[in-house]
Amino acid sequence: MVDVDLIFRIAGIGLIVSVLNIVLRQAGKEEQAHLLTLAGVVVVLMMLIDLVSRLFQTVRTMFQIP
Amino acid sequence: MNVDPYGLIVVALAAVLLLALLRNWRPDLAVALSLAAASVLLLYALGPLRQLFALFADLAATAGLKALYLGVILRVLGIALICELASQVCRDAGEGAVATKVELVGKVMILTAAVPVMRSIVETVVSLWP
Repeated sequence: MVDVDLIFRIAGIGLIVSVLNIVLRQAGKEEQAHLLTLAGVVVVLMMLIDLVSRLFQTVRTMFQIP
Repeated sequence: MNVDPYGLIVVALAAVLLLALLRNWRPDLAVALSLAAASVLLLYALGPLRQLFALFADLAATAGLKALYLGVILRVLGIALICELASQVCRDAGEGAVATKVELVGKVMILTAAVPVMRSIVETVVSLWP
């Protein structure tokens, strides 16, 4: 079945990170804002890596790529 | 496995709406979201495709085609699919140079995968030579 929730989760993380970024920048904490951006990207990539590896495994078994 | 196109449409439209929202605020996460949407859609398409490939294998066996040729065709299809996905993601992220390199590498890999067929063609031509 299609997993739409991953897409929604990534978009939600993006929105939360963006809002928190604005808040931190308004509070004058540039360092924390940069760290937050980095953390958001890392979390999203960790979620993405599972999906992409599943796609690659499926393609590899189906198309008989050694 | 029965196919319903509605799930696919829902995923694609949700991804497009969220991408339109996210691309202005966080372009880095928009790339990740577009890659996720592409992966989900392709995984969705690959399920029903399995039946089609079984049919292809049956047809090839009935027609007396060598299993090698069908394997080469499938392998080329798979490489093209993966390379197209990667190059489109790179191009969407604005990195046209990397996308072109990915396409180039994909073409080289496809040519390498097709080497047995080309060798067999050459052998056939040579054997027909008087």
